[in-house]
Amino acid sequence: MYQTKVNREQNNGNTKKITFQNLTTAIALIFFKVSINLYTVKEIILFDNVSKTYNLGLGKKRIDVLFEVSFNVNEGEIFGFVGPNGAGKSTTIKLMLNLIYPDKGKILIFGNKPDDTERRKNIGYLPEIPYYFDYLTPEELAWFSGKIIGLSDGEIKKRSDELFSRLFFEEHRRKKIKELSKGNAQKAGIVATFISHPKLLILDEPMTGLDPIGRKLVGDLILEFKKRGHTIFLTSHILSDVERFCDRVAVVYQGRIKFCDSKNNLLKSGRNLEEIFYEVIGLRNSITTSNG
Amino acid sequence: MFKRIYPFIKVTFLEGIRNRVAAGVIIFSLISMISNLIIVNLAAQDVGKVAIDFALSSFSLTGLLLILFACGSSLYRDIDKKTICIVLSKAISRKEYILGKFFGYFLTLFFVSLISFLIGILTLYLIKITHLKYFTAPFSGIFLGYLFSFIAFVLLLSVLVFFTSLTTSSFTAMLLTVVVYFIGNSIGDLREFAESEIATQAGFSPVFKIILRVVHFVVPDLGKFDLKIFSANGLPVSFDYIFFAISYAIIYCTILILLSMRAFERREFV
Amino acid sequence: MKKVVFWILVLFLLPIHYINLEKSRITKPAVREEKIFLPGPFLKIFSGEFKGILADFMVINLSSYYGGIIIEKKEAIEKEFDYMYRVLKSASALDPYYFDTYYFAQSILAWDGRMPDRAIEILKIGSEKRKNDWLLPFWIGFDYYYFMKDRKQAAFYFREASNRPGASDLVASMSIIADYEGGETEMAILFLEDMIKRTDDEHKRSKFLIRLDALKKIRYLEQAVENYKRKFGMVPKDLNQLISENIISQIPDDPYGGKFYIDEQGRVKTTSNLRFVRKK
Repeated sequence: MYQTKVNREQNNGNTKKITFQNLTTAIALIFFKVSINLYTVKEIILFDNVSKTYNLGLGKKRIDVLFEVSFNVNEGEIFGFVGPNGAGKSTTIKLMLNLIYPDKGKILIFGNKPDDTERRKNIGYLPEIPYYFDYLTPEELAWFSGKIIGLSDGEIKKRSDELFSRLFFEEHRRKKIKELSKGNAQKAGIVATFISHPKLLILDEPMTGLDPIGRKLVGDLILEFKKRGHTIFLTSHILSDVERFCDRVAVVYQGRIKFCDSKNNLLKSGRNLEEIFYEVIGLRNSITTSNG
Repeated sequence: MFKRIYPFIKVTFLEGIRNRVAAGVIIFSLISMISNLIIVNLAAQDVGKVAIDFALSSFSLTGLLLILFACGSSLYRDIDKKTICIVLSKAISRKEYILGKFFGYFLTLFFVSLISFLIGILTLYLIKITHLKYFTAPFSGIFLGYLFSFIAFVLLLSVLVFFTSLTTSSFTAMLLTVVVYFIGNSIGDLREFAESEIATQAGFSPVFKIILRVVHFVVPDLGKFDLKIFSANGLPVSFDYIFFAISYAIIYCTILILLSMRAFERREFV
Repeated sequence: MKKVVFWILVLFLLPIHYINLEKSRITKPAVREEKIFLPGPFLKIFSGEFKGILADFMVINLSSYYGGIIIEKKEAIEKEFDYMYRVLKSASALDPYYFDTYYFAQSILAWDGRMPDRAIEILKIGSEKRKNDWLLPFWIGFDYYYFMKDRKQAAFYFREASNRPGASDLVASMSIIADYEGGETEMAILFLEDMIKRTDDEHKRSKFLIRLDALKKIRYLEQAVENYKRKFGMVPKDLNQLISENIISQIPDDPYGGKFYIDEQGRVKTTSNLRFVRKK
């Protein structure tokens, strides 16, 4: 980080003197930093050679869940992470969320390690299957999320009102979550996530189990989120969704990233994601060979 | 840090108190108090003693039930159903999670115990009025009995939190807590017995005595907080004892919670 | 299934259930459960924080156990008294401050069970702990005098009792009697009258009243014997002599069904020994 250099008067020890010279240097540096930010794309997520192995039980059975995985996600991108079941998608998310720790490699979120709680204020996470506090109401859940990042009660009320109405959720806001249907529970989770106005959204299989209306809602949310310049990292195995929303895609298989490129490049090459997917997992589908 | 913990304490408290266990425990208190009113008629002379014993014993039972089934089941839902992942992904650290859980459940225990306590005191007062001659124990001693029982609950809660921070299955944590409950209540008497004349005559090995001393050091001495005999018989408790016992509880809980925080930092949630 | 059919079925089944219930009632032979008790220290360890209430239940149980024996058999046998002794001993180990344990030790073991030594053993535990209780050393003193014929110990414990707060005048009267020989009956009468005052339960009271009645009759006869002695310079060989010498008009009946007689030392006794004959 850039530090303002300050001169100290050596004799009496206590007095700090800022000379004119150093002040101008400081100001110049600040401008420089700001302009750097304006012109450099910020790296929101960085995985650098990350490996993770699980030791199963008491025996020596080890499973390499992730092996030397490297990728990055830039600000404003929607990054899709696809792969078959067991490829390592959930593991990747858990590593980002500080739920598990990497054996090797480096992970940075907003430039800091995942255990930095301050930075985590900017992350919103939606799990695949909504598990929330059974006996709380969506309102209380939203209050909880808001309070954790330091919002005032009034601010929380304002934001939650807005979110509840947007999601057509008004009538359920005071019911206990265990009484809600799965779709409504997910909505409760969405409110709790968005109330903190996160800058990074991590979505784990966001479209699973949603009806068409739900899919539209989530889809709109994703696009609006992107419009505001924020970043999304999502995993999915619905390839058409990934193709639709994502700017960049990575295909992971057996703990390794087999493919990682932008959608534009993919289009330019004339291939589609499904092809790449099957190629990666070693299945050639004769029906799609018509595309070359 | 407190700003982040406070909402989690509140949420834990609400989860703990809204499940049916809390209501069930209160109903249990009511039923046992009615039983108390009936049973005291069977006592020969010392009606007060039997009544206070019964009230305090059922209070102890409510605490145990609360810890195991309200706190324990709530923790089960968190861990086994992965709610914990969602909480931990938010801007709350592992340490703050443990602290929040502990204090949240503490509040749950406190409020339900308070209701149980009030029901008990009311019943005892009724019994006292109707059997004035045979109810001599002062209420100050009775309050102390309730207070110390509550402190025992808090100790047991810290044990539950500790085991939860270590094991992946909440069932194991609950089971271990029950084991600690039994050991904690009998260790005082066990040591007394092992160091008594009968035992030395019977040839108890000194190794056994050392083992007991170690166990006594490690396990929470819940027997310290069982003042039922004092409360029921109106016996005085020295201020020294009260001071050191409370100090013991505070220190022990602090140590366990610190260890829990540490252990929890390293946990991975697969 | 139609609702009507369902309810008809239920209503049909219920009376059959009732008949089954009534017809299959067996009166189990009254096996009084003598539970195996662990000795005090072990029981303490296993009962954890429920020592006090366990002691309470043990004693309450004992009370109904004994009550049942009395109702059914009129008198308990040594084996049963043995069991009750063990229960009371365990209860005193669990909670030595519980008064009722000692109440029963005195009324059941000392009197009915004729085990004054065991009663004293248990009472001493209580007397040690319940330092503000004058009744316990009082009972010990009584037991020493009346049953063990040990005047020295009796005097010691009566003194102990009188030093404790609230000691009634009874203690003083007893101490005076204890200085002399032959005051057993008088002492016992005073003791029983005190016990009766303290007891609310009708069954227990009636037991004491019967005994009191017997003792009063013994005292009556003893006073008659004294009269005879003053008149003739020696004790009568037979109680009938009291009648023939016109000192009393008739020999009263022993409420326990025995017969009063006079022994070689000139003491009035009864063949029943103040106990009922046990029903088969």
